[in-house]
Amino acid sequence: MNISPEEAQEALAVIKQTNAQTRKEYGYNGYYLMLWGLIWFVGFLSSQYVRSGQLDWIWGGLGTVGWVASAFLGINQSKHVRATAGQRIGFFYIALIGFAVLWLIILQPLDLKQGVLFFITLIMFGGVVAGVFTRSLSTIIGCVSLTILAVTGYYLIPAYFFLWVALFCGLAMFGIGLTLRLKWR
Amino acid sequence: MAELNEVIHQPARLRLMSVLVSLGKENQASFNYLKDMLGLTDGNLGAHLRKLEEAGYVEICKTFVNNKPITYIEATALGRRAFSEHVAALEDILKVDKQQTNHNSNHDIH
Repeated sequence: MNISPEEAQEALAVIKQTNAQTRKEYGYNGYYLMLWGLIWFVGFLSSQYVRSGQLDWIWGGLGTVGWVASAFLGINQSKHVRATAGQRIGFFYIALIGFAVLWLIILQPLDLKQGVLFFITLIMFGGVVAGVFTRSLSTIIGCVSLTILAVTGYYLIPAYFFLWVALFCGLAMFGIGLTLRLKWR
Repeated sequence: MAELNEVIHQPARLRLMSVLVSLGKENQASFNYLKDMLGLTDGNLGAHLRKLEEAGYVEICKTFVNNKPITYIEATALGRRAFSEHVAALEDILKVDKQQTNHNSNHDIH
């Protein structure tokens, strides 16, 4: 099969254009990061400054919004593209959260900050495993970085740990999500 | 030098493979998503997919989501390799053409 350099150039341009269009259409990870980044930001900012009696309501509301929105995104995404590892990741997260609840009961009494750090590192551990399943190096790097940031804040400024997490984990997640969306636009 | 692939080079199939490969490994695109993305009719897309499936370049999986039948398509490892070789062959053509142009212009100067 022989083609002219002009035809080759044209074919390469088509490939480049299609790749850009696909990435633009398939930028769902950015939405998840923006959603949970915003939830963490508002939630942990509240944990730092709002009285503890109201925190259960705030976190309960934020969690509900997060799971409902994630389910909506997931259903919408599966109409277009699905990860073959998606089901495995879903079952893994259910098992992980089940064990986490058990460990939290076993480890009582637990300081609130320790509990939060345990929860954050657990979610990030889940993210690393999901990254391994989906062969996404950026997910693994992102989750490890957020873990390091959370642990650093816990030991460096324990009095402002929640503010630290709100800014360096929540806002950072939102920023990464927004960057992904803008990059793929 | 890499060889051009006749199955992949057809314009619609080139775009089709390009979408599937750029989604990355472990990701499948739905039939409707591909149809909208590429602006093809059901019959047209089906025919191109059959051709690619016969060559072993894509895998077609029919399933149900919310009780609705959905067809997902994924590029196989063989398909990804064939696509990269095709892209390499296209780049080689441009490289050779550039060398030829440079050679000719040098020849003209002398």
